[in-house]
Formats: sequence, structure tokens, C-alpha cells
Amino acid sequence: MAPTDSTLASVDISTIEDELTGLWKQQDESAGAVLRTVLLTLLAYCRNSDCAQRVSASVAAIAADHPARAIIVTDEAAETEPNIKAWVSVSCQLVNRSDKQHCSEQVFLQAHGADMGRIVSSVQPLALPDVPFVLWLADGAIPQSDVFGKLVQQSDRLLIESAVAEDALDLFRWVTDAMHEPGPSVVDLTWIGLESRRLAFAHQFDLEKWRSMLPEVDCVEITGACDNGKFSAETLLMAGWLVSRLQWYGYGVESHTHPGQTAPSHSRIVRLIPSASGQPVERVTLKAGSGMEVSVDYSADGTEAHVHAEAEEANEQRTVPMKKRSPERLLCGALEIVKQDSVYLDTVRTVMEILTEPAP
Amino acid sequence: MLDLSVNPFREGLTESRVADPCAFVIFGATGDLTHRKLIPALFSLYLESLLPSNFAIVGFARRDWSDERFRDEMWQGIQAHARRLAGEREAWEGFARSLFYNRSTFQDPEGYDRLKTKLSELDKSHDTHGNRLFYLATPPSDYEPIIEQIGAHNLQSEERGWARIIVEKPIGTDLASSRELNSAIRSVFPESRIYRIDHFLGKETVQNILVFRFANSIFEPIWNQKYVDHVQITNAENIGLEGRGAFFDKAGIVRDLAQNHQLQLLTLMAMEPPSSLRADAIRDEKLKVLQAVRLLTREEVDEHAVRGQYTAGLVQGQPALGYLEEPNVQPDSATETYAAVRLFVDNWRWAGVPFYLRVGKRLPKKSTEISLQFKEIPNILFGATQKDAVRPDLLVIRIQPDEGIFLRFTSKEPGPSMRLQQVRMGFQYGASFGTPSPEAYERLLLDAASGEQALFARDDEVEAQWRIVMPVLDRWRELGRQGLHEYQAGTWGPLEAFSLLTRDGRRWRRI
Ligand SMILES: NC(=O)c1ccc[n+]([C@@H]2O[C@H](COP(=O)([O-])OP(=O)(O)OC[C@H]3O[C@@H](n4cnc5c(N)ncnc54)[C@H](OP(=O)(O)O)[C@@H]3O)[C@@H](O)[C@H]2O)c1
Repeated sequence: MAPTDSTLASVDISTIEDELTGLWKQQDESAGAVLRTVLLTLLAYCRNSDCAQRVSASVAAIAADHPARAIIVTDEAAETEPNIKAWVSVSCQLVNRSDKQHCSEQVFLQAHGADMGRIVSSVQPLALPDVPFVLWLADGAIPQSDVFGKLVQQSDRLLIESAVAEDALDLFRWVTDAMHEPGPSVVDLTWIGLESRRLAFAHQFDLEKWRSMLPEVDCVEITGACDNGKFSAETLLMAGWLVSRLQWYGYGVESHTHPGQTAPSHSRIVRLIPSASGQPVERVTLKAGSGMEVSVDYSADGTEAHVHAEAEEANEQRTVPMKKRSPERLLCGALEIVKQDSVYLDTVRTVMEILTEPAP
Repeated sequence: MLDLSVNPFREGLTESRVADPCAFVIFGATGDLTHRKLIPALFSLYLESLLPSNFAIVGFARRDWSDERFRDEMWQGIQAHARRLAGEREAWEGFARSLFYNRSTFQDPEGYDRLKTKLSELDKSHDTHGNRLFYLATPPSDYEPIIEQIGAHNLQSEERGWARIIVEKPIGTDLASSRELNSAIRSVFPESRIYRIDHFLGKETVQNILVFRFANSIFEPIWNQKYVDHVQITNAENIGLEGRGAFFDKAGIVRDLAQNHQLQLLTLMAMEPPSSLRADAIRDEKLKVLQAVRLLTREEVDEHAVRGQYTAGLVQGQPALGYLEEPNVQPDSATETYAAVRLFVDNWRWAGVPFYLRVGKRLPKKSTEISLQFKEIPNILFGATQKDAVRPDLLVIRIQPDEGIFLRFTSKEPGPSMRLQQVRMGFQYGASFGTPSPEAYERLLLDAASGEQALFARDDEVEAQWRIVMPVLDRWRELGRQGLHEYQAGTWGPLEAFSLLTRDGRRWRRI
């Protein structure tokens, strides 16, 4: 269903609420049964209108699962005129197998850096009572405004997507600060997206035989996308995850930036290899001096993983199906998480350790 | 130190609950239940990565099939019955590599020798850890010979891993046969390893009754005889026999739906809060309710229970045969296709509150609902003119279709005068949670393979359920067709069922 829009002259909260009520009424009259359930307030922070549009489409697409009031803030740093624009829209979607519709209401606020403070003060009264307040850094950019920092502390959850951040390390640093109690719990869409890859990898170690070899592992190797000397967030997260799960303390890091070197002072190595295909993560391998090697190759379409496990007297191969999730399903998955995932925390801390580890 | 007793890579995954490694043995693997429900459920668990990589499925039945043929037939079942999974051909190939077939009759000891050898091989080739999950997907008459052979071959031994058994309903056809069957199963498996399936308990909304009652503070204080006038539980089906004539004509609707599903709903509605969510804590409380249900004497049955049988009519615009004209039904059958009963739960919480249960086939629509009608308010404030407008509040839990919870209460109509009106406030599952609920069998198989018994009925529960329905069944058998009321297909049952409530000054809810 096409969204119903209304542009406002100013950021006046009661006008916004009145406009929204009017739009709901229009939908009611034109479309029959409209369900008004709202499960959360989602505040998305974008730096350009492309991002705002993308968020708007996603929020509308998940209205049936997570009907939300979305407040989409665009921080147009490039604009020079001190100017705040606001408009509202309601867009609806048919609920599974019924003639009922679910609608999401969206409030768009646009300003540039200097006016962000005003926007933030407008946002607070627009948040709905009694439902979670989720803050989404939709294009990976970290808001510079202090006022915004306060908003982070007040939110229940912080949604990020490390894969779209300009510098994943900066984002991880900022996130680990934000994660301090009583801050929000942080959910990384990129991490959620890696779940099926992690599951496919985990499968092999349901088998006790392979699990018992984990303490011998002395090399973790990840092949993944690398652009301008920076590995993809997916590659880093996989590496951080494996190293933290293996409970390694003290290891060397080898990557193409330090070619051909091994780490004499470390008996354990994390090796990052740029992939030729550009796939975010192409292959993950654990190796041990004993000859044990478990590697998982992920298919380019993300639907299956080929596992190859080799050790003394054992050679196993299997294909594990992977659940492929659309960006909307990922967003739903992320919104369903209410508690801080401590495995993610450990992973991010390890990623920072790996990236700051001096070359061997 | 790395703890290697668990898989460190599983921690924190949203789908972190994974079935234990095991060999899953299906007796009756060429039958309808296996290809319509069990294999699709297992395949779906596999696709969701909820089955570990070390599992295997061994089908056991009489037909002369090979492993290959078994795999092909099961794939056809997926295509016919599980449309969502039908596109997953490639994943199926991976799954099918763990499917095997063991041809044998249930009575032939050699078939079980072969099964034993196969299971030992699978422990090595598929690393199934000596864990075995047996599923009896067979007619109940085959349960005993199978269990006897499992015992004779010591397949239930837990020397190397665990061994559990899943049994399909019905557990017996009356109290005596259910006791007999339970004791036959228990002679080989202890109760803690027996999983009696009532797929109704695998439904999300049924499980939600406990959450709704015990995770909210506003309902529990009024959930008792002080505030509740009466409870109604309705299981309405619009379908007829759907090819199950031979089975149904012997069973009747009380054995088919009331003894198990309806009484399970009653217990969940009426039980006290369990001390924990452990299986036995929940099942102890459920049992207490069943034990508190006042048993009808034979004489009381005529007053408290009504039965009916449908005649030809129209259901949702389509002509429907009368019950006696259905295939495989005895021409003079006295089998009930509709039953309504008034029960009392004689405990502190529910003393004096009638529970009206009705269940029927060929009713106008399909619906399973529970409703609590609250007591009337003292009629002082709103005077004679508005008296009728003040109707008691009503809370409805709808199990299917369109699962949800609704509250009906009274409100003032907008306007200058004091005019009252009933309004409805609702929460719909589909509306708040767009994710479709998993199939009941998926949840139950996963629970059984992970040793979680809460959603399975315990022997004493099943026997207590039979104890409640036996006086009714005995009395009706005695009477034959006498007192069996006819109702036209497509109507809400015989008139006598309405009198059951009107006599008490109440009426069935319009659904
Ligand atoms: N179907 C459903 O949707 C459904 C739903 C709920 C509960 N149930 C319950 O599930 C159970 C199975 O139902 P179903 O519909 O699947 O039954 P079914 O289609 O009749 O299947 C019976 C199975 O048992 C095998 N079998 C019968 N006698 C045998 C013998 N002497 N030796 C070896 N195999 C033998 C048959 O093998 P061959 O055909 O190879 O001879 C077939 O695989 C019943 O207790 C039923 O009440 C079924």
C-alpha cells in the first residue's frame, strides 16, 4: 500500500501527532480493517536521504512483525541553511493470510549538524510510552552531537551495522563504550547476518571427536573481503569470534599488510587473507600442528556451507544448509533480541585486540 | 580452560537449542503420519539447524523398500504436504543421506536384530552417541508387540547413551486399556523416558495459556470462583470424517478429542501456578486439577452430558452427508459426533464454577476457544433501563484459527445520556508477532530429542483423563442410540445441548 504523506511546516510535536492521527483515519476509511499495534519506537539516524529512504522502506516492510513508530532523523551535514524539515507518513501492509493491514507510522526529521540539538529535543516527546526505544545508526555513522550521546544512554537498544561503517574499528570502539551499564544493549545487524555462517561452522563441533581437538588448534585463518587495506567487518567478526571462543590469550596476527612473516614469539596465529571473490567471508579454517584441519567454504549465494574436516584417520566432508535472510528478516531478527549478547561483546573486544596487535 | 563438554561455538546463537545427537527410529515409517508430519518436521528442524549434524533416521515398516526408495517416498511426502520445504531439493540431498530403512514386520525378532546392528553402525558412521529415540507411528494395536521386541533385544539399554520412546495418542481406548498399555511401556522404559504426544500441547497458543496466566499480574487475582461465573471450552470442527470412518466409528468424538485435547485445555486453564517450569512441576499441578474434577455417576450423566450425531445438511454452503451415510460407518452406529458436558472442579479456587465443554464435528465453523465469563456486577448504578446493557465481562482465549486473546467489557456510548455498550479489546497473535508459529510436531520432536518432557502427558495424567470420561462413555454405551440426539450438519449441535446451559440461566457463546 502506498504511504500516505503529509509535510509539516515546523517541528511542533502536537502538529505531528495530529497529522499522524489524521493519516491513520484516512487509512481506516480507505482500507477497512487496520490494526493499531505498536511494539516499539525506532529512531534511525542517517546522514543522507538515501539512507532515510532505505530505512523507511525497511520499517514499512516489517510492519507486520514489528509495527513501530519510526522517527527517521537525517543529519545533512552538507546543507548550509539552518533549517529543520519535518514530515510524517503512514504505510500499511497486509497481515499474513488475512485482509487486515498493519501500519507503521513514520516521522521524518531533517536537519544539519548545528540543528541536531533541536531535533533531539523534539524526538523525546515523540517516543511512545511503555514500549522499547531502539536507536538505529542506519548508515554506520557515529553521531557527533553530545545531545545525541545522551539519547544513546536513554535508549533500550542500540542497533548498528558494522559492515556499512566507514571504519569498523571506530564503531566497535564507540560501541564498547556505549555498552557500559546501564547503557543500552547493542545489536549488530552484521553479526546477526553472520549467524547462519557461525551455525554452519558450529555443526562440525557437535561431534565430540572434533571438539576434543580444539585445544590443539594453533592457527585461525579467515579469507574475506578486503578493500583499501581494510578487511570487511564480517571477516573481523568471524576472526574475533573464533579466537574468543577458543579462549586464546596471546597470539600473533598475520595479514597481507605483513606478508610472509610468521610469528616466532607466538605459537598461535590469526591469519587474515584477502579473498579474490570479494565475498564478505569466503572461508574459515582451524588448523593444528597435529595435522588436524577443519575448513568451511561458504557458497557465494549464502545458501550452503561445505565443511571439510581432516585429522589422523579421519576425513569428513558435508554440506550444511544455511538460512538466507533478507535485510528485512535480519532487521526483525535484530529487533527480537532483548538482552546483550555476551558472545558478541567478547567478539568485538577480541576484534579490537586483533586490529591493534603489533605485526609479528 | 576451554570447557569441551559443550560445543563452544553454539553459545549465544539465537537457535542455540539443538537436539542431542541421536538415531531416530520410526516404527510405521511407510505410514501416513510419517510422511505427512514427522519427516517434514524433522527436515524443517534440519533446515533451521536445530538438528545436530550427528543424527540419523531409521524407518521401520513392512513394505519392501530400500534406503533409496524410502528417501524418494519421503521427498514426495515433502512436496505434497510441506510446500514451504518443497523448494529445498539440495538441502534435502544432505538430509536424506541420514535416512535409512529397515524392512521388517513388527513381530519378527530378526528385524530387530538387523535394527540393532544398524544402530551400532550409525553410532560409528554418524556419531549418534548410542542415543536412541523410538517413535511409534503405528496403530495402537501394534504398540505392545513393538515394545516387547525392543525389550527382548535390549534396545532400550542406556549403557552407551539414552533411550526414549514417543507414543502417539490415543493411549488406550478406555481406562483399563490405557493402564494396560502404560504398564506395558513402563515394563521396558521408565516413565522419565516416555513421551506421550498430544500434538495440541505443541501449539504456541496452548503454551501461551500458562504465560498469559502466570507472567501477568492482572489476571491471576480474578481467576477464581469469586469472580468467574463459568468457563466454556469449545472445540468445533466443520469437517466430517475425512476418510477416518473406520477409526472414528469405533472411537467417537469423546475419545478422539475430548478425553485428550479438551481436558488438557481445562487443566491449563484451571491449574495452580507450578513451582517451576520443570516438566514434573507442571505435570503435578495439571494432575491435581484432573483429580479435583468431580466424577459423574452414571445417573448424573443424563443430566450433565448431551451427545449428538449429525444428519445431512449444508456446511459453509456445501452439502454434507449425514454421519450414518459416511463410508465405513455402521448403518446403525450410536457413535457420538457431538458432545457437551458440565463439569465441576472441586477445589478451593473453582468450587461451584461450572466448566461447560462442547466438541463436535460438522459444526458451522472450525474454532477452538476457551472463555471465562465473569460474574455480574451488583445492579444498582445503571437502573432498570440500562440493566440489559450491562453484560458480564468476558475473556476469550482463542486457540485456532486466528489465535488471540479478547476481552469484552462495558463502556459508555458517546453522547449526552448514560447509554452503555459492549466493546471488545483484542490481541491477535498474527497481528503482534508476524512470524508464523512452528508446526506442533517440530517443537515436540525437538523437545523429545533434548529430553524436555513438559509438553508430554504423564501416565497418571492420561489415566486421570480417562477416569473423568469413563462414566459418560459407559453410560452412553449402555443406552445405545437411546438419548443420542440428531443435529443437522452445519448447525451448532442438538437443542438439548443448549438446554444444558439455559437450565442454569446461561447460554453458549456465539462463536
Ligand atoms: N495420520 C495422522 O495424521 C495422525 C495424526 C495423529 C495421530 N496419528 C496416530 O499415529 C499412528 C499412525 O497413524 P498413520 O495414519 O500413520 O497409520 P498408517 O498410515 O496406517 O501407518 C501404519 C504403519 O504401520 C506399519 N505397519 C502396520 N502393521 C505392521 C506390521 N505388522 N509390521 C510392520 N509394519 C506394520 C505400516 O507399514 P506398511 O504400510 O509398510 O505395511 C505403516 O507404516 C496412529 O496411532 C494414529 O492414531 C496419526
